Amino acid sequence: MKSVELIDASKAYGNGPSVIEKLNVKINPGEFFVLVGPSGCGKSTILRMIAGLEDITSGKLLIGGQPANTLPPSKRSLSMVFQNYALYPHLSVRENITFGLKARRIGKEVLEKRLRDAADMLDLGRYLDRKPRQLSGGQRQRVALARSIVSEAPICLMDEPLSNLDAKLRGRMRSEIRQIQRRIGTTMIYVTHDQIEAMTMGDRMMVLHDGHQQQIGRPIDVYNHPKNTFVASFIGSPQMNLTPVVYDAAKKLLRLNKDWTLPVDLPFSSRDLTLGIRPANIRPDERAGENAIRLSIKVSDVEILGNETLLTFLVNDQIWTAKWEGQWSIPGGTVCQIAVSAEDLLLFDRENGKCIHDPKRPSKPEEVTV
Amino acid sequence: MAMERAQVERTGGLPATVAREKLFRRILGRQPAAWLYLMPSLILFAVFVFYPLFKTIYLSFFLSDMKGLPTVFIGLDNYVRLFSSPEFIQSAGSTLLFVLYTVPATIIIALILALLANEKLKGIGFFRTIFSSSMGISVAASSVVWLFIFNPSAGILNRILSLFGLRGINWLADPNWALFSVSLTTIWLHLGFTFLILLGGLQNIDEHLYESANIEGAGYFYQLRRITLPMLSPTLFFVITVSMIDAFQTFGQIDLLTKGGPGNSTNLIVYSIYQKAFINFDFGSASSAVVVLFFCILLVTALQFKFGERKVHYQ
Amino acid sequence: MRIVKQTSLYVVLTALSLVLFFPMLYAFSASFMSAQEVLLGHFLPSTLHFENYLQAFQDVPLFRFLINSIFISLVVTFGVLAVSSMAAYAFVFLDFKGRKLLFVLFISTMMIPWEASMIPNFVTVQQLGWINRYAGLTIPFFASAFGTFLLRQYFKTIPKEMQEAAQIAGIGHFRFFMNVVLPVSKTSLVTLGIYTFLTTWNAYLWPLLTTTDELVRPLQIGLRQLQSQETVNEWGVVMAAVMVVAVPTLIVLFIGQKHLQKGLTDGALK
Repeated sequence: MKSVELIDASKAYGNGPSVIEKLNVKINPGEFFVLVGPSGCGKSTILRMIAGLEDITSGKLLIGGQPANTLPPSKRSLSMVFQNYALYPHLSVRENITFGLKARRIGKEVLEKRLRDAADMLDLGRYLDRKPRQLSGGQRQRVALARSIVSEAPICLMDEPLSNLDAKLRGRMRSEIRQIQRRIGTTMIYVTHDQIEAMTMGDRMMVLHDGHQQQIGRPIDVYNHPKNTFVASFIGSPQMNLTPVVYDAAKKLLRLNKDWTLPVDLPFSSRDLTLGIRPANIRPDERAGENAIRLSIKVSDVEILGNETLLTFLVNDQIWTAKWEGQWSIPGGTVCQIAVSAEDLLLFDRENGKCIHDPKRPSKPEEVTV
Repeated sequence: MAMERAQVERTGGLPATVAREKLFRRILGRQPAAWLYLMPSLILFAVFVFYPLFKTIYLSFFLSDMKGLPTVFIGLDNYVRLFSSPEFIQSAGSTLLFVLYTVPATIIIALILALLANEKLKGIGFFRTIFSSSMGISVAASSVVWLFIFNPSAGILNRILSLFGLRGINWLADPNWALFSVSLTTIWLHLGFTFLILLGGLQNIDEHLYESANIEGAGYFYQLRRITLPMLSPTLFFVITVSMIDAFQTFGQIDLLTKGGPGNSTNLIVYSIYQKAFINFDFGSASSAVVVLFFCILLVTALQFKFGERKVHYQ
Repeated sequence: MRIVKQTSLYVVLTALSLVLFFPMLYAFSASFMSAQEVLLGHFLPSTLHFENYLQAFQDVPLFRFLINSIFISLVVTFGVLAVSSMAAYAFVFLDFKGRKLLFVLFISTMMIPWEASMIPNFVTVQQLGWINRYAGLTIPFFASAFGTFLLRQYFKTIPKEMQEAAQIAGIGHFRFFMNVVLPVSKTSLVTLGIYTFLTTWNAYLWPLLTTTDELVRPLQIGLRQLQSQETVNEWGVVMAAVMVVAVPTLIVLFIGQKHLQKGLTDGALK
């Protein structure tokens, strides 16, 4: 397996502004690495730069430690799965899977064995003689996977491979892809706009916004300790509640508006901040601990999703959401008490969005081990 | 791993080669192979379209010898002579008249046929095939058939006239009728292609438009005027242009039916060019007529684009 | 109501079909008539005079012309398919300097009527020694702006990812072109093929100029020759020759009508 490393990699079209700005990341051999961000953030462009389908304007790309900026795509030891699968419509499943192998003049026996293994792994044995149009979306997806598996390339790139599938199938394929990747141990670089895929599949992920890397880390670390408001709002569902606040150092409290204050003691002077709190960290009054900060709110809407309940209410003219365990049938308009604990509050600099207060963050970030 | 063996070989390369490669790329683009794929077309276009086009313009400024080769440069004399020759004026007039006779008639008839053939009926495919059949019949074959039909004694047209007690018409030899007869042949000949294109255009119109119009209770002719024709306008636009250009280029019918006669009444422009160039071998004078024809066709296309485009409703 | 409408539609359609197809039916019928019957203006032959066909093949080397026409049309068809599909491939899948400009140049050749280049082309072909040669009747027609345009429209619908997948798998351009693009575009190749076959088969002016003897002369010019040779009375023989000229293309058209209609409208309008 091979590592992939980008050093100050940037991309611009013509003389236009850069669409990718100074990317620095090292993806370890055998790692499942997810590039996640909203559409248009440049994640697919990065993948295509790694694949060699787009030029790298400046910076370096190392594959397996070797410079690879000018290598043609076929020499970069990788395979790629596309969002629309890019199957050849006139070829059978078997021919689709082996098309690339034949081009590389791989012997018939080896080819047959790899085809058999991949077909077994993906349960495609029965469909080998069909044409792509005779297959369902999920089966086509598997053919695309099989095509990438048989190449035995040490690096596999996937560009939104699940976005054309329905929700149920998507869930199944998520774990299937994860398992296959573990089994064959390939280095995986996976692009998605879906933060759930990023959270559940990746060993590590990189969050991107407008061509800038926002944060790299294990999904759980990114979730718990977002570096800025963008990451905070993008990762996690429902979204983290974010609202502008002012810290009053003299009275040691956070002022949301004239009635709402949260008493907290913070190690800095009075300033404008953005407060962030995860919906799951807003608790019903009776389930909160002694030290919790209590606020009374007027419920505007309640959605019961089976065994959890989403409450929405207005804070500072902004919609906040709370996620409570269990089924709470509260009529809209009810005033009730909520509780938050001081250690769940994240504070961001209002100017640049950077996280400046995160009580739970370990003083020294853990080393990432794969 | 198989692909690992295909080692990452070129590790950057020497700076000089990289620079040369970059220069190469800047001149030829990312994939110089493109020129290989384009080469056959480019060579053929150069030899058989662009070179001759300029050569024709060049020839039109020269007198030519008996073999048709240019001899003396005479500037615009060929053009001056062309426009002062009554023969050419007549030929241009006949051509315009011919366009007027054939283009609107062909399109209107083809449109009616296409509207009928666009109905969903059992066996409609058969009628469509019949309506488009003239596309599969060559100019030569259909001209010879019409020559037979127009025959004053044996032809069916005069037989029918005599059934009604009317006197036979000398369809091709009577200067009053010859151009009409040639036009009739041409309309029939062009119906197939025009029909096929218009039918295709009709079938491209979204069914839902008619469904919603039906729900709103719009009648057939209202729908025709408000949905079909506007939506068909790009196709009509295309068909009008193609028909006009075709009409300007008419040759085979003339050669087989009338040879330009009687009294030059059907001597359409391409036929007169043919006579000048390949019967009289006066390439200079023929070339000047070609240049005039070329600009006429260019003008038609340009006008169509200018005026047609505005009215056209693109989806 | 519905039935009345349908029946009247059928009546109108049938009537129109008869009128439109009448010239061909009439010619077909006359091709079996004796000279006598033709002169009397009969519409149907009393007995089938097949000897008209024999006569037609004897008067001129009609069989030779038939073979010539088939050969020339097939060569031009495959020539156009090869040359246009290569150019269309370059325009869609290859990135090169001046692509847009060159495409405009290609399209502009559609505006240049064939007649505009006819005289110098005749001289060129003469100098190449291609008069009365198949080469002169075929090679000048290999490059087709219309064909390139039609195929380009179709190639553009092939997902770019397919090419990228091939690139990553190490499949070269030529292999991708031959093994993926061409098979996938079979329908538009067939459309263009039928169209080219028909237009080549029916070509008149150019073969008239470049075939002065019977060796490579195609059917159309052969028909002209026969028609000018035959005495006025032998209409049956001439009509038999017309049938020989028209039936092959009619068959091609009947088979390919659907293809052609779809392909041509797509090509014309997108």
